[in-house]
Amino acid sequence: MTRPVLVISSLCKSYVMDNAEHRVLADISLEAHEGEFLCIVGPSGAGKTTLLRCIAGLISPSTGTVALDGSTVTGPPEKLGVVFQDYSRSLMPWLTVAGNVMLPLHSKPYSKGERSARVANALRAVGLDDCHTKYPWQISGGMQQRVAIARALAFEPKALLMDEPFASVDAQTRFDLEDLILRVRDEFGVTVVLVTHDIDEAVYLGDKVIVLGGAPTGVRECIAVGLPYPRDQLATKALPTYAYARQRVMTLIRGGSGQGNAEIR
Amino acid sequence: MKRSLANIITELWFPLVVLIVLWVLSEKSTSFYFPPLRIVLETFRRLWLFSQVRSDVLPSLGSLGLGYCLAAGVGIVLGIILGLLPRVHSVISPIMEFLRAIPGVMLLPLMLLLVGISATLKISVIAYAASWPILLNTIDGVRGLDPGLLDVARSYRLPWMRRLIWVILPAAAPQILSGMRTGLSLGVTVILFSELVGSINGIGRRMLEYQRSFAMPETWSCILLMGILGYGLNGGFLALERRVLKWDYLRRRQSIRA
Amino acid sequence: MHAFKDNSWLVAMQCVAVLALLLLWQLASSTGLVSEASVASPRVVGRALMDLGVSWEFWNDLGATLRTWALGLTLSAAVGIPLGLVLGSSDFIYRSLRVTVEFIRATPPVALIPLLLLLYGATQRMAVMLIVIGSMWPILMQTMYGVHQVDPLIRDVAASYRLRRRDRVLRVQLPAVAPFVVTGLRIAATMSLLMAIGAELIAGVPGIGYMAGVAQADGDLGKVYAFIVITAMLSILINRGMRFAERRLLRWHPSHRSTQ
Repeated sequence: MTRPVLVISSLCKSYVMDNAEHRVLADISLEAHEGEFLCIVGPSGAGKTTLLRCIAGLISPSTGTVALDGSTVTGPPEKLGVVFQDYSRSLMPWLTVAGNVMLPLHSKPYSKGERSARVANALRAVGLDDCHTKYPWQISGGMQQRVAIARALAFEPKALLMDEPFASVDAQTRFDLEDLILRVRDEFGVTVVLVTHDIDEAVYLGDKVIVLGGAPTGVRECIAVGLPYPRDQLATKALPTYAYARQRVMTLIRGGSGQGNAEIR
Repeated sequence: MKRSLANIITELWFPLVVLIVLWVLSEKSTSFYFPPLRIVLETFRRLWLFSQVRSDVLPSLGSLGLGYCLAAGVGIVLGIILGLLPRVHSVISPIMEFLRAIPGVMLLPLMLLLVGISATLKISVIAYAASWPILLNTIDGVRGLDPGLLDVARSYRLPWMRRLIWVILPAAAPQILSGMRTGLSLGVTVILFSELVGSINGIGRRMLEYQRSFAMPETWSCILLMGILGYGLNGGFLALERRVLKWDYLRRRQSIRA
Repeated sequence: MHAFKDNSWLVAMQCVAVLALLLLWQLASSTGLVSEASVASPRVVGRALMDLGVSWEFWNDLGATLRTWALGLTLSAAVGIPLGLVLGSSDFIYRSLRVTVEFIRATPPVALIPLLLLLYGATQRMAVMLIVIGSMWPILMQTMYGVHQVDPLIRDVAASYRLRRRDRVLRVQLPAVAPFVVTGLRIAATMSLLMAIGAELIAGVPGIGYMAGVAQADGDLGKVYAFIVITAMLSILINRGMRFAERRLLRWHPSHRSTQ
């Protein structure tokens, strides 16, 4: 049994606005084991981004803890690579592709040669071998997101955290990127936590799917997807297990306390 | 960005025509105050190319340079600090608004009493006046920073120095440089009136002397010189700006096309 | 970036900051930390302000400065706006004139003070000439720019409804250009004040600038500080006043509508 890399225990988050307390997240507990692909899915506005920012150490939970590789997260943790949704605003326009990927490496104790090697390796893994000297605005949206993924991979983190990474690209590119992330997970052996509103994507990619819901948002259920790897856009989606898992997730999202605004593709 | 010949002609025909017309019309001039253009240009060549450059232009440019560097240094550093601390900025903004509203000219009587006629007077007034556009633009630039970029910087745990140099400064650079350009042309104005009032050397001082001795062509040549200096410095800075901010310029052009 | 929770809390903090500064200033000069010869204490400056406030001469001079300013600004607008409207309407003219206007604008108007002094002497006329020559350009350029920027669609609409030329200009083009013109006026207003004061201080034209020069010649540090305060307040008043007028006049413009 592989050990848990990410452990979230009883996490709650509330905001105070206009002298009233709004509880966004209530008592969220989940675990991601080494090498696992965990998808967190829920309706829009459920607080997925809030949860993600807690995991990334950008905000602190009101109560409860997040632990990465054994240590509690109090600020942005060292072994976590984050990929944000809005790739165009997360890449520095004054740096080349290679410069962007190298950015987090400067504060790590690598030699210059090692840094270049890591950048080259990461870019190769995402299929951008020949884009090193281009600028972000010279490449397409899908390629920009690949750069963001490469940046997260370059320092070989323990876990990869992704915030609806493929929401802003077209469907065709999305399929390519989904397959890419699966390959990357195999090659680098990272644990992936991917937050999405897209049920199909969650089931296609994940080992486990965590369904959020309710008000305030909590964990409805954790579903083991049970589909074999390697996955294929055509073959896997034709399997009955896929349809069943998808059905389960959708029911959970739409059912419960009447919040039926899940995204359906 | 090569410009076609037609473009260049369109932009330059008018100034050339104006010059020719002025030349011809003023040739017959007997007015004392408006000497023929030919004589003004001759005087210009005699004085400013290059015999009096050392005695007049260099002191002015030197004071301008020193004052401007001070203004830029203080303006950018303070601007970054205040930009990153919006609450502090809000609290002291009435004070800043007042200080900023003080006309540079009005500092002259004060500085005359405090330091008397010297280079320090010129440098300090320039530094004060030019620092405001730089400071305010830097604050705006830092505050307008895309939060997405800051998120990236934080989640990748970039150390402070690196965050400043590689994320905050480049992102705010377009605004900062724009403020610096405004500050520069402001500095040109300030150096001139400082020298008209309190200096022993410099272009302004020389102009005063010419005016007092009713040397008209010389006075006109000084005006021309100031025009060239102002235009040249501004244009030079613009070219510098375009070079440094090439990434921004190209990126915006891309999004307009898309 | 969160603002303060409460606006009144912010105002209170701002008052505290101002008072703290004045207190520090007073302490610094009375304990001799900073010599009296360089920094007049708030008390001395306050007294100088009061002396000026009751002096008939001061109000006379202030009036002179304001009259010069108003006259200069009005004339600049009277020249700059129509010229800008005409020159901006053709793309060819716009591009032809660009270099010339940029060159003139880059020339500091201060450079003309010695010349104008010779031509007109230290009179109000000299100051007004200076203001017009200097402030005309922002107004002209902003107006030109505004005409240039007018959405061609609006022009097409006006043409397709076959509006009379007069209606087209008054009801369509003018309102579209208005925001730019007003911006130009606001910039010019501040510039005009600075030039009025500059002409007074440097050339000796009657006005508060000249008075400040006299105070300096007398070695009256408190008064010099007082004039600094007065001119700063004047500048703020004019700027705020123009912004207020701008808001009222241009309430309909998208840039002035409250956020969605």
